[in-house]
Amino acid sequence: MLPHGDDEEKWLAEGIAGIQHNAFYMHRALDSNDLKDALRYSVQMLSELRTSLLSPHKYYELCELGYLFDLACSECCLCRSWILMCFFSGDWEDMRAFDELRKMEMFFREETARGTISVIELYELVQHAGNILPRLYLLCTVGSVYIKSKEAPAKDVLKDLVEMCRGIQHPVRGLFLRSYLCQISRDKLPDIGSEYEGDADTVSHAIEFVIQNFTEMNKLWVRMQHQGPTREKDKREKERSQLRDLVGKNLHVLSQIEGVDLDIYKETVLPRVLEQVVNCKDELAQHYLMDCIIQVFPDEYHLQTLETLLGAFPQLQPTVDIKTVLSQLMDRLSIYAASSIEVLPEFLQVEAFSKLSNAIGKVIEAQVDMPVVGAITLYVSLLTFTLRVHPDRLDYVDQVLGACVKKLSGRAKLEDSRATKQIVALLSAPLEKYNDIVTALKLPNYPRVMDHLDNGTNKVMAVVIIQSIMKNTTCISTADKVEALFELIKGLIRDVDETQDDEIDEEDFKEEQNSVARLIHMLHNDDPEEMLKIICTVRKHIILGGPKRLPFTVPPLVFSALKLVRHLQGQDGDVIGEEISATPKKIFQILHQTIEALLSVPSPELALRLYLQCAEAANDCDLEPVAYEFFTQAFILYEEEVADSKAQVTAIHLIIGTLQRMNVFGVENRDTLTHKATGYSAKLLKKPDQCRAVYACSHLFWVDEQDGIKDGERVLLCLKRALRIANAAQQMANVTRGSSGPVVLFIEILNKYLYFFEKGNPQVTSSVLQGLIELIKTEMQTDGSSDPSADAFFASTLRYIQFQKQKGGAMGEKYDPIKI
Amino acid sequence: MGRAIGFRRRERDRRRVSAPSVLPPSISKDFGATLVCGIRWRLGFGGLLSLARLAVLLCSGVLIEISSDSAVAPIGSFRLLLPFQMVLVLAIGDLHIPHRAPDLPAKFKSMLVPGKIQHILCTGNLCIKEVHDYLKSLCPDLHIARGEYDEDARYPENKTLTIGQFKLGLCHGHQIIPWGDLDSLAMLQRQLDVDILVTGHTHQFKAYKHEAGVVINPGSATGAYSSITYDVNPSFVLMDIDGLRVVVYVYELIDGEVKVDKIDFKKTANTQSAH
Repeated sequence: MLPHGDDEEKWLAEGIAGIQHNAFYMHRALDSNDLKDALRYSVQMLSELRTSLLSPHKYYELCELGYLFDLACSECCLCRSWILMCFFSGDWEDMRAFDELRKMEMFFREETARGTISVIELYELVQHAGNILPRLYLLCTVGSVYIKSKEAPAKDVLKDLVEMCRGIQHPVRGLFLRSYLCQISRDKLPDIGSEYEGDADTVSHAIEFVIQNFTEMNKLWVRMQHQGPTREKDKREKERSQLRDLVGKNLHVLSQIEGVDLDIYKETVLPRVLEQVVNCKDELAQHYLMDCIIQVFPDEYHLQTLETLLGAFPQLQPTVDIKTVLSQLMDRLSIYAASSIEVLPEFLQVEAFSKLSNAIGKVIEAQVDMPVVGAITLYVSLLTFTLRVHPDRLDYVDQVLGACVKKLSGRAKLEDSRATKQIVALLSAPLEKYNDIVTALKLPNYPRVMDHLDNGTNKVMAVVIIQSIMKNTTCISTADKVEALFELIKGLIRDVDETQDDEIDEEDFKEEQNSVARLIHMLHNDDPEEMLKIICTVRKHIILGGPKRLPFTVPPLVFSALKLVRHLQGQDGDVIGEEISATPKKIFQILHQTIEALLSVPSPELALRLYLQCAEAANDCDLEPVAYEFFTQAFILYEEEVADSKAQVTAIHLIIGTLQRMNVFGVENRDTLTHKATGYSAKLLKKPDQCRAVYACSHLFWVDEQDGIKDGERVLLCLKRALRIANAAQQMANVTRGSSGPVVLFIEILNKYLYFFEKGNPQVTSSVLQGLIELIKTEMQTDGSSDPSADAFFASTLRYIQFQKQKGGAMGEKYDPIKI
Repeated sequence: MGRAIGFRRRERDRRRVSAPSVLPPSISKDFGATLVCGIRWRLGFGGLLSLARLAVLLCSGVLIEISSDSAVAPIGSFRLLLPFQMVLVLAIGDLHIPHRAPDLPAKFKSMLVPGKIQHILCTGNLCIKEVHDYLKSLCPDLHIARGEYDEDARYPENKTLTIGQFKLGLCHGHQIIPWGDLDSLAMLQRQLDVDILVTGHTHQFKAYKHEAGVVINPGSATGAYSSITYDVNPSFVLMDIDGLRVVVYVYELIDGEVKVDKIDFKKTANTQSAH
């Protein structure tokens, strides 16, 4: 019958009142040195602790907190939370039973010191109390004085006390009594170096005492769950967990005993504690106590007893949350390993990794119902451990990943978001540790783990990998590694799953593909042979990307290959034999096929630009047929695919600009191409565009270099043609808008004339220039609505002519006939 | 034509100066500037030249503090002068990200910090929005001419703007044939009627002065592959426009080191009167 809140408060108040009442009389008796009365009232006071009406929580309040958990104890983090909780719920003003017991203890001590009564007599005397609970509390109190007096060996008194306490079998009362015993005895244990240390092997007695107390307390604690109706089991479990620190304190005391060295811990303490833990077969106790063991004992002990400790895990109840405890252990050990380099050999010596790895395997095997996320969490901890402890052992990392793959095998993609998160953590850990993707590429199981991620997360992980490469400017330098890398990021490279095409966010997709494009620049090797292999590998993968990805991935590959071409060009002299595959010719073949893929997209403008780049590179390599082929492709694209008039203007300028720079072509090829270019120029839609393209074509016939082509006649033909078009544009404007057209075209052509005049084209004479200037002047006068920008252009052109005239020398002479 | 008159780019072995040593020790001792590296430069207050130096310091992020060494010129007046005098224009372009380069060099990124530059002239070929956004974050007054690889079709073919007493023109340059030809660029300059013409496309830094003004090519900020130029070094240009004078600082990354060169131009009264 457990009480309701209100009643409980009442009972608590009554209990406190009873304690206060009896304490008052006890004090009076103490003041008057009346031992008999003092004892009587203290017994009555302690009888209040016999109540079964209070919940453990309230019972706790009845006992004095400050005494139970004094400062020394509050350093123990396990107790701290409990104390804090009680601090807020309890009333510290009240005098509590344990507080009073402290006064009794002081009194007893004074009494024995004064010699009015011997401590042995006192020890006997308190045993006459009628009720067992007060009797044992007093006995413990006197026992502590007894030990202090050193009239009997501490070990005997303690043994007596711990045996006597068996008299209380009520779980809550028993727990608190024993906790009191633990508390008063902690500074009186016959430990090494302690003043109570006896002659031979007393430490073992101290350990024996604490372990026995721990065992008994644990039994009481476990038994608590069986008291009361089943329907309140949850509540009881909650209360039980509130009391756990009373039990755990024994372990804390154990860890504080100086005498517990590694050997004793290994031989006695750990096996006995574990035995108790395993045998109690209680989920709550097992989880808490395992955690407690890991927390209170030093890391090096754990390391040395790893086998024993881990051996206990599979024996625990199947419902125990082992993963948390085990993770805790691994985290602690990895922090310990990181603390100093000197401890690392220990880890190797005890083969910590394989032991942990085995233990995890067994636990996962034993607990069939463990959710995937639990298993992966364990692997993350193990991975963190091995990365810290054995950063050089890549095989360990792979082993962990492999185990994870094994666990995941048989499942398709992971749906659980928490598990996904853990996988990402698992995959990110090596990246962060090594800051070098190349390391991760050596792990065969890495991509297999990635396969288990859902498509979205897989992509995110791939982007993380790329970002890691970019951040560390890691150069991926062999084709094998590139292959492995593309296997990793294949989620970005091609459609893994065709069904979900529509969901993709356009912006995200662009960003992803741009990051792939950036990545391609990081795949590099100075050795042409290897670089060619890399290029082929990249090509093989990106070609599968489909029309949406190609426009992003082809250009970086093309330029990467062109860089290689240029590299080879630089080494022309070193070419040995025919066997080497990395020749510009070969690369141009690959380039041709790669750019061709863009046609299916279709992305003609991009392809045209890339063809022109290749043509120019082929020109630099002196490969006329190749350059001609690329140019042909560019022209075909222009003819058939580039429809937008604005795009045509840009394209034709690029064609002319490139062609102007080509010097590899023989007369025939060159004629064909220039003829085509001029033809297309004159066929642009808008007259001004036509005019500009045509006068740009004039440069195709005059290359201002030593042995460049200098065909003054055809230059003039182009310029005249441009003039005719400008004229036509003028007339068209007159017809349609009633105003004169763009004079600016004439000024532009004048400037072109000036250019060739200066370059020494015999066809361009000063009289031709003079005529053109006059023409423009007339046009500008007839043009009613003057265009300020054309005026400025003309003015600056004239200023330029003036400048050249004044310059003197040959140039000045040349310009001299021109009048402005 | 007038290409021989003004400054010409010196050859490979020209004097290279590292970023802080842009500033030779000054004539007067009015001001000092402490740099990141702990070096303290004395800056003369007498001439505008020192302001230009400071401008570069401010921009390059190596400046920690400016302080006065003497009581003659109080620091307050100096600070007041700065906003009116110093106009920093960044000319940058042909980044070709991600087609030809993964990103801007880290050294450049650390130098280009937001809030120090008043205008950006970009010669195009960024090529993607991310780069556009990056430049915008450096300075909101961003002018871009369209390069042949830019995905954003809204960039104009060319653009003119006025900064201080200078008229600047911006064009990528692939439209000007022969590519990179100075005489042809001069024609564009006459057409746009600008004092300073900024173009790109060749991926090679150039700064020419001729009778009608200055033609600047900031090169490629990423050192991107070019069919026109071999061995491209990453470079950009910072212009300090100050009255009738413009100081051009060229930042070039050579073998992992940022080298800075300074070129001084003065606008002649002749060209000014033409406006």
